[in-house]
Amino acid sequence: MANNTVKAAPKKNSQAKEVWRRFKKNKLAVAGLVIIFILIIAAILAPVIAPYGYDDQDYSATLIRFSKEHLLGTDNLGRDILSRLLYGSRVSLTIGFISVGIGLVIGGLVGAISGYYGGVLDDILMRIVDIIMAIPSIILAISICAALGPGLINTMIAVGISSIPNYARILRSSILSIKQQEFVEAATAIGASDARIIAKHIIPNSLSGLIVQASMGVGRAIISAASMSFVGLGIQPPNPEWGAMLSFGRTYFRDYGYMVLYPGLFIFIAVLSMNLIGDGLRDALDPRLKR
Amino acid sequence: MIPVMLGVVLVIFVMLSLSPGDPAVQMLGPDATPEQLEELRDDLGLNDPFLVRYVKYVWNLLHGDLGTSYTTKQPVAKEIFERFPTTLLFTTLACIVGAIVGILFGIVSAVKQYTWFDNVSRVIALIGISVPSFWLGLMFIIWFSVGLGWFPSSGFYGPKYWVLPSLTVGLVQASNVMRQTRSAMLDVVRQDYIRTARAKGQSEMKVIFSHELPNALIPIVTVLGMQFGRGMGGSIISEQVFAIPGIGMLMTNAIGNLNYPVVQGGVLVIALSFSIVNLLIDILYAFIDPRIKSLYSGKKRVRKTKNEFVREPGKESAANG
Repeated sequence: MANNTVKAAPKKNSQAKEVWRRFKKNKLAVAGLVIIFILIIAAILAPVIAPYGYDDQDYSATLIRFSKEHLLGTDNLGRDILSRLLYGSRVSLTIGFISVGIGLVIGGLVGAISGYYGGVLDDILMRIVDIIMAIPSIILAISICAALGPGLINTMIAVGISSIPNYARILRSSILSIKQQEFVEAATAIGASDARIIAKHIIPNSLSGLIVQASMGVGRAIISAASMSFVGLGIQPPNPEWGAMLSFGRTYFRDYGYMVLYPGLFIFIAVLSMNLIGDGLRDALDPRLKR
Repeated sequence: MIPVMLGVVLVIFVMLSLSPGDPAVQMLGPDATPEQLEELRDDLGLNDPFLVRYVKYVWNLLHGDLGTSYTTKQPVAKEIFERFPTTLLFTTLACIVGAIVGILFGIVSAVKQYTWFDNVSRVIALIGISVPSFWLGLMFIIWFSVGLGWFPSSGFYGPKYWVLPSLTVGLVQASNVMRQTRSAMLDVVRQDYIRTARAKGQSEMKVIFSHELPNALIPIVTVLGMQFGRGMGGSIISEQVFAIPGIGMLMTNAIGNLNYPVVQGGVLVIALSFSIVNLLIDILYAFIDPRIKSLYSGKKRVRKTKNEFVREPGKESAANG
């Protein structure tokens, strides 16, 4: 008996540590994490490390492919592409993380309420989710953005809202299975409130699916936002979002391919890293793979 | 499905009526007088209350009327269905590429788990799901169209034009399909009946294609359906890249012009075709999985025998006798 409690106590505290230990073993996932950290630091330090401002035009140096002054070249207005990409990582990463946050909070709330209470409320909420799911997410995001108008905040809202059904459904289904477990019954029996049961017992146990979805969702959000900027909604010039840079470079891409190559490469690397992290987290959080 | 479609119309309607832009100003330009604008708004029905407009739209919709385009004055239904076959063909071609490449690589990867082939194709699939398809499209144009001159870069007029767009979207889809196929197959390969099949000396090909694949098919078909929906939705982006005159192109232009009837119609048609595909896939489940089929036919049989038994017990025994 005494032995049992001694054993149980440290194990509970080291849940996160345990996941981290398993996550660390996956080299690709760690590489993804490192790259994302580098990109975040680059985004924060953009004004310090970028050699030029993001809108500094130099008409004596337009459309340079490569030079000592401009490592990744310049665009048709003589703006340094490397600097724009560094500043752009601020916009793209912000959109990626915040829109996932929006989707996660609203979708999680809808899924939690729907899964925990069931009944009529569940029916109504899930029918609404069905309706939103019937519209392909990129079309939904584009229509929202068309309605709200372009801009950073509207893009985040549009991408966030279109990802709500995803999170709602995942959380709902995992709550449905957890709800029937004994520890929830035990909590109800000792008189815990609904809010307490949801927050303390159900959410922590159903989080793993959500975490994996969210980390991959950041990548998807970056691509969605870039797609919207690409068709002219979303972020507007001269703001250096990666998708907007791609869209801008499209006029010249036949002769100056590097103008679309680099922004796309940055999107790709950021999304790939988030996907690697997501894959790693899934393996690390999967109880079946626990030793 | 019909309630869902009405809901889709409502969602799009609410969104576009919240939009700050004024179609009348867009159509007449900044020089129009307030009276002209007011008259046009009246003509377009923009001054009616929201509910009236919604009911009117749904009523017309039920009669096959999607409204009139603000810019061309053509019926929206006609404009959309002129372009719909192009988008459908494009999406279908991409899905075919995605299905063939994805399922094939997924199967081989699962069968040869942890070999070099598996590792390489997993990395490629991971790259595939991370790459923005519009960027891949532009890169393909630079390599195969501008550089090598093999395929035309824009338009959609014949098989030669189809290659690059369907490869671009198809390969991204294939990555998703491959990942799903691989994990579904891996779930199956450790089952007891597979061991049984091997134990009784079944050939490896037969084990893979008659024992493993049919049992792994449900998640694969599900992901294929999702890919079709994403392809339909993504057409709004990919048609821009390759200048394909489909619904996506129509909608992008309509969004720019605040041409709401066309935007509504486009979203509706895409959502509808997505729903139809999902319905077809639900039906397909019954063919793939005999358990699902028996679930439906079983219910019917039970009800029938019950009714017969309750209503006419005498007749049954008479027939037997």
